[in-house]
Amino acid sequence: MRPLPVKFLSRLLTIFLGRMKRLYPEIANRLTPLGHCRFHIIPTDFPFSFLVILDNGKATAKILNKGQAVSNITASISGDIYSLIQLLEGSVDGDTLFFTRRLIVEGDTEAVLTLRNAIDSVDLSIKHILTGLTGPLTPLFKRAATPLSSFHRTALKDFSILQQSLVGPVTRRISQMDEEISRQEKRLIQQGKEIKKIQASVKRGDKVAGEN
Amino acid sequence: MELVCPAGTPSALKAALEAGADVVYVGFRDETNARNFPGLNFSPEELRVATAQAQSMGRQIYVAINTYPEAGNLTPWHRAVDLAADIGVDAVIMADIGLLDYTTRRHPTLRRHLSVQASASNPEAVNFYRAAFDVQRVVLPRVLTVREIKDLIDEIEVEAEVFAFGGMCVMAEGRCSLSSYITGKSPNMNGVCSPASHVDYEQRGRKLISKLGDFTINAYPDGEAAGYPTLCKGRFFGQGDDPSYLFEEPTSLNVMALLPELINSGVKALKIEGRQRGKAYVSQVVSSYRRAIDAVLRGEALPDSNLGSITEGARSTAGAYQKSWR
Repeated sequence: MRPLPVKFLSRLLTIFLGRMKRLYPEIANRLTPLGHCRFHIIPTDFPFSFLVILDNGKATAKILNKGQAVSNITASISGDIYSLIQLLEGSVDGDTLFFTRRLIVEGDTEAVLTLRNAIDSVDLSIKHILTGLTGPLTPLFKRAATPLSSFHRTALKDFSILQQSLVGPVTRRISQMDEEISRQEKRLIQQGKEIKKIQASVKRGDKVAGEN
Repeated sequence: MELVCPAGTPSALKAALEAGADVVYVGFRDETNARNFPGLNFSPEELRVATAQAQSMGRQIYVAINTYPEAGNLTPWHRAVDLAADIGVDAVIMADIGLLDYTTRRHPTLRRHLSVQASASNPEAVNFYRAAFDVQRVVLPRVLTVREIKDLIDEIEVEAEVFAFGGMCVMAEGRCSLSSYITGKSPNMNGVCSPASHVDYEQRGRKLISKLGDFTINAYPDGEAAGYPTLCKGRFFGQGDDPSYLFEEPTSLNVMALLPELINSGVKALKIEGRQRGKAYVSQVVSSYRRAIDAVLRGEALPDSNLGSITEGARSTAGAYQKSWR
């Protein structure tokens, strides 16, 4: 995959957060006590990470290349992209992800808990946010259609690549899980056979001992 | 049989109602309730909207005001009671006798339930609260067997509510101050056990280390299910060379298998713990228990439920309800 225009995506992400704030003002209200915070969100199976900066409920974000140094972090949150998306939409419980070790939190635990509770306090829908994005972006794309039409096309292509890279790991993960289940099933069948063999052998042994 | 479900946020409340809760219990955003966690709980306006929403569906809202007021600073607790009464919630859940007295005098028509934090587990204690404060229901501590619950119900004049699912503490309920030895804060006084402000997680090599203040509570090898960083469920060095769970392993309560017995024992309400959990947890647990209760009441077998993955430490227990160690 060719490198994505990080600056463009960072801008898109900030617009996404701005719309999220407009659609779900309750989140900002619950985040206000945090003041200034910098969360490093690390999807472990994704080529980028996200730096989300909160300032009294207002959020901006930057996309960082994997491994890129980042300083003054309040806390970091790591997990596979599928779990992080589920967490954002509230379709999975954060404690469940933590118990099952699919989520790793380091740094200021209280700040992370505040963030989790704030996001979970609304019925957030990524689709709802993205659908609305066409509104404010439409004039931009219209302007870009003439002198910047090539940029427009690239941006859309990049967005499609981003979408694929979001969905790709999930699909791969599901196939890996399917393969693992299939491996475990085979293993269980094999173990069942071995147990039967051992039981038969033990029976035969008893008989011999009894005859003695 | 009433299904009483938790909600830490308006969206969790919506999830609980959609999943079939008869009652949703909530708390205000302060130290007046035993789940005083950052970013959690309801503002007065949110509670007003939630109460209208639930009552329009024929459901109820209970408000937990179940911590013990700080000496010389009664205002937050009195304000919480006054707000709950003004909003018109269906009941308040409380433990402190001073607060019960205040509520009885100021809001005599506001229904009062005795919180588990009061730790009333014998007929004398329960009947005292009934006589003194006209308490209508007792939430029983998780220390009784089903048989003991039945015997108790026969001797008390109030409804009994018991915990069915969620957090499982080893303490004599309402009397645990273990967390405060490290953090200065406890569930009874401040509404928090192992407050997040004192918790640190660190991935060290192939182990997840959880710390409370300066103390290491646990070290989970890769692949092992984790639990909350509470002292009672910590893994410590005792006499041997290897750390072990000296008090209790990370585990959650689940009495699903005992539902028929509990229903027959005369219990009025089943409570799901977990106002600190997300709406996905609320939705999953409440819908499972709704299906199970309805099936038992119809005389059918218990339906399958898959609640294993959302339990602490990926383990569950029927705890004292069975007391298999006796």
